Amino acid sequence: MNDSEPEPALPLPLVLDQHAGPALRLSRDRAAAMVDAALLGYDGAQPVPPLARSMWRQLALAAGMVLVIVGGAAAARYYVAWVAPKHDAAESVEPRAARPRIERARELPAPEPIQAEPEVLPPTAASKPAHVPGTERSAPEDLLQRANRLRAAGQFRQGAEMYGQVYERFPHSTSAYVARVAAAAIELEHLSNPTRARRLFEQALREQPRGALDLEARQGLSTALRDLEDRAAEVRVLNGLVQAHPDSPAARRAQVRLREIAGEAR
Amino acid sequence: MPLRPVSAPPLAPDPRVARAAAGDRNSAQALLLELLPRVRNLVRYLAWGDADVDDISQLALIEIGRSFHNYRAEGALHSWADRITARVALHHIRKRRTEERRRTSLAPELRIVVSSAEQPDDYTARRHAVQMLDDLPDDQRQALVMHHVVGLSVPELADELGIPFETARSRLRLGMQKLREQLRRGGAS
Repeated sequence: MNDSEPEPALPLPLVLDQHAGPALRLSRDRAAAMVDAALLGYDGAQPVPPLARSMWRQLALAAGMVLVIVGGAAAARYYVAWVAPKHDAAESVEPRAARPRIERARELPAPEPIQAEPEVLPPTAASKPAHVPGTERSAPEDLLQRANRLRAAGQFRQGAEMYGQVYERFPHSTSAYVARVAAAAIELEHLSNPTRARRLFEQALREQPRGALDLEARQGLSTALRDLEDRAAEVRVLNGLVQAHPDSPAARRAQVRLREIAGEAR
Repeated sequence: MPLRPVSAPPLAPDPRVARAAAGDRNSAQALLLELLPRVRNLVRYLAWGDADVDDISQLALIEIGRSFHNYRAEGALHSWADRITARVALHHIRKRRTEERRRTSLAPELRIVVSSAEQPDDYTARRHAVQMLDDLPDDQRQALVMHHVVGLSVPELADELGIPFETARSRLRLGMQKLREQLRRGGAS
């Protein structure tokens, strides 16, 4: 194949247009919310966003300071290594004890207080974890995989039940945490049960306050609270999300939603 | 399987772009709403799974909104937006690759959810096609999408991905081979 030879055509219909697919369908409300979030603070032409400009200025300042410090340290080191011994060769120098290096880990803000709920949820017809024969000796990961497959196949009710098996039987495992978030998402998105979704999201957040699925759990919880029309709790969760994940697109959407709620209250 | 047209008919020059660039929020809003479905579709072609599509799309919308003043009407608005979207998506995907692996291994069930209610139609065919892309390595997938969907030439592709020309062509060839093998085996796993 030479450089000018065209590449063979794709054996797949990869169509790119404004119609639905391959991205999942999106409601009009959600589309409008995404655009509003993208336009937060919009003022038209922004060759260099003010934030970026000030950031560069700060970076330049920091770089200058680093140069000064490094230069000073090098000069001091030169003095200690070469000049001082010549002036005072007889004086022994005690080796300086290494100063403990104090590192401050970046800490996420603590999640907003969540009212204590009973750990065991009352079973409902839709989501009571069903006993599945042959799962007695299954590891939580196996059950999780089965639940994932059920969910991927669109068998949401059975998937939620299987996730229930995971967090009921292995309540302190990592899989239980994942299962709670996954089950909550199913309850919210497919089984129209925001009450149960809320409890599961809250349990997951209590169980692992800064867990790997923290953002998903907070987003899901805020949606469940929105469905339940609990505005005060929704605001708390949205504020917590913005604090904990300030750079995420979800934080922008949360800010838009907070403005909406503030507008409703007026 | 027949090859279908890769892109929609070009949009006519739109006066709303100039107004949006001058700070007219309504014009910007209308344009972004029109572009959003296409932006999301392109992001989905480039990114594995559905979980990050809206987050990346939103970042792309922000960048498009910031860049209206750079649009010179030398090509269709949607093609210009495609380039921005692809750039934002690739940057985001590279940045989050490590985190992605961690999250994916932890919670694969949160990533792909296909509604069982969908009938076999265009939408379903597109979903099926993108799930076949999901089985490709990222590098080959991105090369195929940038070349066959966004419409970059191979030299442009090499430039955009920051790789040698021959590497770009090799990724296209390998990606194509894998897609054909998948089709022979009967579709997405």
